[in-house]
Amino acid sequence: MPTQISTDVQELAGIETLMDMLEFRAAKTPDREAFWFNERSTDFADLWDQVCCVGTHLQNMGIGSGDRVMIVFPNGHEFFAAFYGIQLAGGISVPIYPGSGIKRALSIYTSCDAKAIIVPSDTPDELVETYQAAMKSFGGNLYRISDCLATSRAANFSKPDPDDIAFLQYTSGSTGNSKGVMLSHRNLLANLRQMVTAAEIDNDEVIVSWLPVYHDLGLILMTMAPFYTGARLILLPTTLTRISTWAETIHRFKATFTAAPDIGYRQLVRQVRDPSKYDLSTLRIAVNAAEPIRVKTVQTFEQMFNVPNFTKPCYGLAEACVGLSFWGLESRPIKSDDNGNVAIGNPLPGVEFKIVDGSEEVKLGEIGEIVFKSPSATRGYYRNSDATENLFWRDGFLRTGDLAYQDADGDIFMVAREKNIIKQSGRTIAPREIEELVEDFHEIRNCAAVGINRNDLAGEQAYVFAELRLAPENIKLGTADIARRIVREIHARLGFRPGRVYLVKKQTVPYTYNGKIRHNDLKNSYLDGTLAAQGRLIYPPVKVPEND
Amino acid sequence: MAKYQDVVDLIADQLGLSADEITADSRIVEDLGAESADIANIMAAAEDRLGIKIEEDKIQQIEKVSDLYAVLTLD
Repeated sequence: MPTQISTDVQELAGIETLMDMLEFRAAKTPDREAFWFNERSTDFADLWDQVCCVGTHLQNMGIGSGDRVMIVFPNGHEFFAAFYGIQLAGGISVPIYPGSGIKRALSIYTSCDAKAIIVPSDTPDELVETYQAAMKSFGGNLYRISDCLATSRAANFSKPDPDDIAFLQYTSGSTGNSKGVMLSHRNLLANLRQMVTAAEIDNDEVIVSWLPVYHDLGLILMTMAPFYTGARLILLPTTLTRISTWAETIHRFKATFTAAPDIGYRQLVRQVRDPSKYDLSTLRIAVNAAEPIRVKTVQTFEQMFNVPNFTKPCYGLAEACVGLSFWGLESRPIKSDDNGNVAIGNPLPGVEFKIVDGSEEVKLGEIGEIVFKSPSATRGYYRNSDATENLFWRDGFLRTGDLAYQDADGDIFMVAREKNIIKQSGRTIAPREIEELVEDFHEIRNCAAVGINRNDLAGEQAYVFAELRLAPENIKLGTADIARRIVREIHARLGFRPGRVYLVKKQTVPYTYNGKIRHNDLKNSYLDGTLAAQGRLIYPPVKVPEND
Repeated sequence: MAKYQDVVDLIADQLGLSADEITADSRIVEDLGAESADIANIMAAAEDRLGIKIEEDKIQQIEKVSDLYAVLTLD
């Protein structure tokens, strides 16, 4: 039988670091399941034991206070021992997306001047050798987690202070421009308390997550919050072969809490044929965050699975650990404006927002950049003083780069990010307006719209990249028809024709870990000819220069 | 050199029409409903798809589908 526990607010209040948190759990609720993955559970005693083994190994290898150690793990059993083991040894964890190419991995490795890399037990020898060869010129060691776990644990550790950096949260981006957000134990505990309080997460919660454990929402809200409260965590791989596994898992474990970016819910409502097979009514909260929320997704999801008002919009960003706002627990539908922008809910306890233009606040109702203050706010980007300087607005507020306005009721609505806005023939178009409409075509899986300026008479024009659901050979007939219907629909609904509609192969539209479209990367790979060279543009045909 | 059908397809794709709505005599603006940005986009598409760049000063000469075909064929 798992230990019966009641969350003791006072005891939790004494926790100052992530190490305190795990040690507290191991002492207080040792045989309670810390997390479940792939039909196997790890309890809190085992988790802490593993963390201690990794910490010991690293300590023995000379890793100490403030040393950066990069970890490259998918969702699974091994991530947590590595992530927290580094911190126990006094180091700073640098988790990166396991699908990062070796080039990006090494660019982060060098930019944070890491001392070592830890990789999963089952990393193929060839890959280990490739890494080791590439690391030679930078120094540092590579460890398989299995070697770390085989070490017998030491009795003493130089545990971190609350203000020590726990990990560097690298924001996604193309090679070279990634920024490592410094998050201290104090920042993280503050954010955990803010989110746990606002969403009333307690130890009865059953949390289902397929979000990446190496990044903000999937790491902090979905795995740290249950470790903090002692809630049950059911972890799935990020690479769900069928999105219906998510619904199936909620049903199977009678989950009460889940989260995903809008794209997760969009895929779910499109792919599940028979929603009556899944009972999602045990859910208390279905967080929709990290990507612009679409009213239609929420409505379809709630109707299809009969979960009215379960969707809770949230807003946050890596610079605040993760969460900054939450829609609230009361049963009420999401709120949207005439342009389909969705309200982000109430600031979490201790969070303050302002909407500004330049150095001044805008008037109520006007669009400006949203800035925030929170105990969870980062002190800056690791070894990047220029970016850090730009991050701070004034009076202790941090910039977000996100645009928003506040309505008369005080609700804040996010509008599209300025840098992605398409200015076509005197109009201002948010990519989302086009993307939502195109994704309504049943032949289309995903879509992204970007502004392209060829310096011709037309000026900037919207270029639409629509991923076909089927392989092109299965729809040879009719690609032209699909492309033309898309143009007609955009013209009929939005009043202009896009500069180009390309039907593209699946997985052409690049996403961040959290499901935000990387518009700029898509645009660049179109402009530099990469998309054409890779044969990703299915229709219309592109003439590739013959001498190339 | 462009084939006539390529030119029809290109216009149909840019304007969201089906090919059978387009004849050689169709006037691109008056009959097919193109706006000025659409014309520029048609020129850009001709360059990308057929590899033929139309000089901006030639655009004045293009009224009908057949004119566009002629410009693309002569160059």
